[in-house]
Amino acid sequence: MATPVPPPPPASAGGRDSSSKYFDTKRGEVTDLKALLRNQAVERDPRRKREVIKKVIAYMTLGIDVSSLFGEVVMASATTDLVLKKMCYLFLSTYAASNEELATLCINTMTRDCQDSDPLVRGLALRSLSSLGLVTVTEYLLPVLLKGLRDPAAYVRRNSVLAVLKLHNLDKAIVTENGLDDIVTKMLQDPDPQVSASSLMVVAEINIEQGGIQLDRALVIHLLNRIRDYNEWGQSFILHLLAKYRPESEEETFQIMNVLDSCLRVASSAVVLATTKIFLFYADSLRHIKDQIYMRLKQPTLTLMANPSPELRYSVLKHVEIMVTRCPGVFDSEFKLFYIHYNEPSPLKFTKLRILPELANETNIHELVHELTEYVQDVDPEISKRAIIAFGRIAVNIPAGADGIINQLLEFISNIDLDTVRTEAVNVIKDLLRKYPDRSADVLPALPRCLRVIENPTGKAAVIFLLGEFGADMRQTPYLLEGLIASYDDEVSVQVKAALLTAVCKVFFRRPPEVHAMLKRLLTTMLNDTSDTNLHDRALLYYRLLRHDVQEARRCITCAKSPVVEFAEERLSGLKQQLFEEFNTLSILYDKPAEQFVDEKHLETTSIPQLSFAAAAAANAAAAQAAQQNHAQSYDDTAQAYHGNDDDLLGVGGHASPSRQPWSLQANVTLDQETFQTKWEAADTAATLDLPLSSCPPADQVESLAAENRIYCMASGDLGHALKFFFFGRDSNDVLHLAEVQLEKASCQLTATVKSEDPTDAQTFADSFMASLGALL
Amino acid sequence: MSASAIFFTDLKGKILISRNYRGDVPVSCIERFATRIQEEEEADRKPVFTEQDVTFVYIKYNNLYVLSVTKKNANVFTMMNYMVRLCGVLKGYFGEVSEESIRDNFVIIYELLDETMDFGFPQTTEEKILREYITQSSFRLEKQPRPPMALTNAVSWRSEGIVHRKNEVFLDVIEELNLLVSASGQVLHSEILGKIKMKSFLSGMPELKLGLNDKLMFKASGRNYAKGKAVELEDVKFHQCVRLARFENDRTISFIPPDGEFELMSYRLNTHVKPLIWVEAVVEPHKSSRIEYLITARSQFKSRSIANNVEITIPVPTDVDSPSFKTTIGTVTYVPDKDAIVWSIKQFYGAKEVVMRAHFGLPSTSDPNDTSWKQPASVKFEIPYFTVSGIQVRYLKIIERSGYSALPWVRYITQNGDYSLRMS
Repeated sequence: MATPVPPPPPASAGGRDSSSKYFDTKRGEVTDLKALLRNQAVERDPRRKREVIKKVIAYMTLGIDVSSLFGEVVMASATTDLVLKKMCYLFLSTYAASNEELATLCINTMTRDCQDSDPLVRGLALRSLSSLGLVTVTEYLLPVLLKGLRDPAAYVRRNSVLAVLKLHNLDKAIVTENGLDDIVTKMLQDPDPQVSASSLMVVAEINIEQGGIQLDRALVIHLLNRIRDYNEWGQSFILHLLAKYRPESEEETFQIMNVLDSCLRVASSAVVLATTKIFLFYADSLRHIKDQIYMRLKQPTLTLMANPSPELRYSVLKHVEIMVTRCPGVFDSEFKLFYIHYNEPSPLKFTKLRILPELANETNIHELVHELTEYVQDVDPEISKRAIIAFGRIAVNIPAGADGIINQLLEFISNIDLDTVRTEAVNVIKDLLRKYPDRSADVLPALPRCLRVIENPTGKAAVIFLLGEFGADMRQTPYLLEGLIASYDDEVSVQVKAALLTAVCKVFFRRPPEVHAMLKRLLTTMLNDTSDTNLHDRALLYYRLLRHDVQEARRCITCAKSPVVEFAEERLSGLKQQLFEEFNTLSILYDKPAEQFVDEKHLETTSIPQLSFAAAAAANAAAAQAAQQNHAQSYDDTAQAYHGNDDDLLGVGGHASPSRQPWSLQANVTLDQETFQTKWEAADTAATLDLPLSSCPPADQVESLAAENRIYCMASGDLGHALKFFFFGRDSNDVLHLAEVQLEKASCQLTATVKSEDPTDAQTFADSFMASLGALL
Repeated sequence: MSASAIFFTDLKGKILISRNYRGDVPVSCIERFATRIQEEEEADRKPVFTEQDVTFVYIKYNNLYVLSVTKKNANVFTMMNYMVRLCGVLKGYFGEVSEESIRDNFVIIYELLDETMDFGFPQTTEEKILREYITQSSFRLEKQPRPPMALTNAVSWRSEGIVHRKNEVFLDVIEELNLLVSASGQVLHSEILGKIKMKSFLSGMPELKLGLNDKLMFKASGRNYAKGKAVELEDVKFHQCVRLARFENDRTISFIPPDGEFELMSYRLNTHVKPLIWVEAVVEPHKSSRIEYLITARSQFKSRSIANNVEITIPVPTDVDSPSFKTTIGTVTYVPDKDAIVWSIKQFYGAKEVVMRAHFGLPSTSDPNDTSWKQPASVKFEIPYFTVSGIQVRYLKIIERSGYSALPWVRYITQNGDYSLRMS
């Protein structure tokens, strides 16, 4: 087998020995350079002249102010030597802003160069002239620019198109008055893909205040047909724009996805991620194949995760994190790819630790827990802390695994001699017992030891909370608390002291004779302790409550806590949705929407197009009708939008927030029984539902939950073995939906039949009914 | 989408060269980057941060930082990718990209910065095409100026009229093995990252067709194949020149190559692989006096293959002293600034087992709870004429109008990727 010989790298001009010397000079020589530039001998010798200018550029690179040479460089730029010209123009565009008066001198040469026979020179001159960034230049720029936009060479046209944007930044009016924006818009169709892509970029930015480019179907087809002709930058920009386009039908969506499928095979991560964004947006509207779409995206994104650059890997992971939460289950089988590697940067490790628990399911939980156990013993305390938090997430997500995880956490407390580990473990246990209170019996025996060894205030407070909340009946509890009260004066943490007070009170309500004296002692100490106002006031409040009425105090202090069902971050679905819409931008890396870190004038509207096809079709048909709708109706819509958001905050609906969907239900709809009956008999079954409920709720609860989602009850009754309901709702397209619902008491099985005036939205209605019962599922 | 400026800085954040495209961000903003770089530990830094509505996106490349700043909610991947590509172009121009080479080639870099990006929008980053615009490398001035060809060409990555005296193509199939082994010796995760690099020196507009032992291709063409002789590639990505429609249709890889060196395709396989080089460490710490290592390394590939330049790195406690080693093969060195011993074996034959013993003294004051030396061991190696996935080039057909015959050369190599074994 032969060994290929790589070709020697081309000897770059100004290689090492010839260039290093440019940087060896001292500051005082700027004046010398000036003299050299004025020297007649240098003037005549092109090679020497190049050397001198190169030195000037070297000074510029070093950050030395050479702007005083501006006049001389302007003179030098009038040359036929392209190498020299490029250097001069670079100098001129760097220093033009600080030499506005002299800058006008170079306009002459540059405009002349715009007429040169060499397209390279024309392009260079146009780019440089527009880069000067001076308002005084605009009047000279305009005529050459108009010519440049029609230049036969694509290179010149491309530079001209971008020059229009530069001009626009200087003077918006001049661009519109001379119709430059229209010319550039026409150049979207330019035969050269680079020119076409640049025009897109320019038009999008010029119109940023109007929300960017308005994509119509013709343009989309044009771009899609040529997508392979563009280079990776053109492709990723076009895909970025396409994400805002809303296909007119489901068929069109599929067509677009078919065309773009090949973009997932491109080696550029920018193109792959931009394509992914479009697919993800479409997946939201194609719920029946959502999983398949995510499956298609899985391999390409995972490959990007293998990129050698850790910076790129981090960015990919942040995007995968969003995808994992949007479509749970799809990435589960690949959980091993998210294992932590020793030499990765910590932000990467932290992101993996947030993704891993989301991938847990009943089959892989054992392996995952085993792996996370490794991380708990990591050298970095932050890693071990986050690994323990990940344990908590898994236990909340998968009830079947909770037992094992609580045992594992207890094992950490007894076996790992690290305060951070113990603190975090106890803290997570505290949260888990809120969801699995019956597990407290296993935890209690470990508490006395925890109290002895844990020093961190948060951990200590968590142990004391557990003692008060679950340990009131344990034999040792009063003694443990007594010890803490005795050492009250040595305790510095307010958190611990506050937890102690509450815990002692709780135990007092269960075992008054034993704890009475203790509580009295604690209250006296605390009332005399004025080191912290909050603490003092809390003690005072407890004291007065107890004196007022012990039973009332008990009711207040030991009130039943609602079990933890989900974490706070899951409930912020509005924010998550907004982040999702800003997929493939910096927002994802920050977990913040753009408006929090980008100046207002640079914001781009990224709202997801409304993708509900049926609704769109219906909207077209009902356009005339919609026009006649009165004020009350539109006001009502706004109200509904707000209401929709509320629902999502409560975590009821797992769907895109209704305020963005055109489809919604009207409020306060009434219907008489007769109409219901005739409509019911006239329509065919359009959708059905079959849901297992976690418990059998009373009839009025079902009714009120549905009513909160604007699905109203016509009638309900008890059939003995089951409950029966008739519901109705009217949507924003004025379509009436009817449902017959039966709830089996024994099996808690709910079945529903939906009939609609227009069956297109029946499934949506059924879904929204299901969502309204979210709390019962 | 667009960047405001691009900077190259040294590891302290000092500017080496920069280009301010939009002028909406002052050059002085680099000071904030420098402060950030100096204040935060490298391992804790995020590649993107925003301060006072200026966003900094950077990558580390050799001993440099390449940084772009923007005021918009930019497209992360476009920015990062541009910087990666830019470094690739620079590398093509002057070999190694480093502080020194940047100083040496500042004029070309300015030219390249101007041609690869205009007003913050990335333009052309194909090295071959760029060579047509850049004046510095060729001093083309003496020649008659001619318009860049590729601009009006249907094949944007290749110019017409290329002539080579000898028509040759070199294919390098390079596979990297990522492996993570648990302390109990179980393979937790293994993954093969493969790429096919091509160096093409062909005249004219040649049409190439590459045949691999791709399982799906055999299936698509209805051909029989012996079990174990075909490879199932999980995710394949191609250079722009490959006709994707054809690939989707019948898995044929056909293309007109760019001239010179480029990466034709990359693929990933997420299969269970037996560790090619297995390392086992028995560590015996004797409290506050000494620590002993018994390292066993086993090559688990065919005996006719050889792993070259094998380097096994074993972490040791920070405060060890007076090292002594005993081994039958290779050399062992203690590297104090990495807190590790490195066992280098120039040639490690397949199906062999070798042993090394190390002995260190420990100061009596050493912290018994220090576990930092329990970080994973890592292995570096190169096995030529071998692909761990079993992928093979079956043919490379070259067809050109003028009908010349060209020689394809193929070479295989398997290297370590992120290859680490956790210590017990």
